[in-house]
Amino acid sequence: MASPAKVTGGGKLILISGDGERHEVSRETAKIFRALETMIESLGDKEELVEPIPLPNVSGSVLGRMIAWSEHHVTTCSFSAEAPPSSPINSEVPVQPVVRPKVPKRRQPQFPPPDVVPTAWEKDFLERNREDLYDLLLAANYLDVKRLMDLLCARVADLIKGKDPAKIRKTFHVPEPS
Amino acid sequence: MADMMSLLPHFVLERIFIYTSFKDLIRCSMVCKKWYSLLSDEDSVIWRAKFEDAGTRHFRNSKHLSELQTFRSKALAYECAWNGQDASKNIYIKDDCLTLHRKPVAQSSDGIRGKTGFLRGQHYFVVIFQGPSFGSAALVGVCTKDAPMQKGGYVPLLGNNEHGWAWDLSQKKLKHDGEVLEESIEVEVKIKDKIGMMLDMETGRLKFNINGEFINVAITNLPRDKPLYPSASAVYGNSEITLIYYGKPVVG
Repeated sequence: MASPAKVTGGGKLILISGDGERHEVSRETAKIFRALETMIESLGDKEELVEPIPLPNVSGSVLGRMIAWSEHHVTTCSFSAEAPPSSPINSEVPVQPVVRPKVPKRRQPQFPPPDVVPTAWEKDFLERNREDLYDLLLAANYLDVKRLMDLLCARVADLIKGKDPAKIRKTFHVPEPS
Repeated sequence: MADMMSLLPHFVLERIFIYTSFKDLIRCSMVCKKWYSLLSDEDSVIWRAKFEDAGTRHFRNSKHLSELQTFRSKALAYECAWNGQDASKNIYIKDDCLTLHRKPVAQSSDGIRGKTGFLRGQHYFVVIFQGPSFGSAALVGVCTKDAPMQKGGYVPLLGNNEHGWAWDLSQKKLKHDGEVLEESIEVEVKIKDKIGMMLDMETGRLKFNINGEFINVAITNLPRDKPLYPSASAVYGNSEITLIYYGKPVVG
């Protein structure tokens, strides 16, 4: 998945994981990561090389899977971020790419919680990544991917279901309280 | 995989708990200090979500919940309300999820249990007979899972067998296993009075009060080896009885 491309254009972006893997994605795909959305919007129609965007908190392997998630949702479109009104950008001002995703601000959860019935593809995605729910949770939180967050949280809640405290500790490797 | 849960940001854990059921959350609060402290805020978004999930709109707007202060305590009142699935077929639960209605069926005595039984601790309930009348056999108390909830004829069903302990409001007696534990209780109980019921599983006692005022009515020697459920039975047509669980009693 790592791309050797040196020059990007035509709406491509390069994301660099914490362990240095380079992933080339389209801007549309990257916009599923809402943490990057503002930065991408600010690029406007700029075609030339954009600095690679470092994502130090996400490993290459997790980033690859996050991109697979986005690529799927950008094509099916059902859960992609609602298109915000295009912001007028003054193209005279040189655009400085934002290198750090904004920290997701504290959001109020919805009531009732959003519907979390996964589609067949999403079910398969969660199943393939069952060993890495935790890494995906952190990445989904960091990159602000709401739908994935909801599904992962519901999945973890499902792992808690019906278990006594000792069993929950075992499942999540929580040490005994001292 | 290290201790992943303790590294999760607070916000993420909160989101997970919003998807976790009330009963699972009670167990979660015993997992570790961090979870305990997150769940000890009874008015948090987590407990609010449980309250919003609980019952109907009529339940959430019920005036009977007005004395419960937190979202957790209101959600708990739902978890410990009458169990329409564990009652005589002549009884249904009204839209407020807290009040039962006994249909006007002739020659039947009808009872109900709460959803939750208790094996330990102290638990305070308020039971209100909403009317129209106590009839010849209106009883309130506790019972085990084995107590029958329907019987032909008009009988004081609760306390009529070894599985129940009850205050017979019609006959003004305390009863267990068909026997009278205490004769002629000189306490005037009216329709719509708040009958406070304190179940103490540590001492095996069930104490009553009326509208918050102390009265000398108590049942002792309750078994402490099986869960006891709040219960009531009635024979009068269209009887309505409300049960509100208040949680641990306030000292004093």
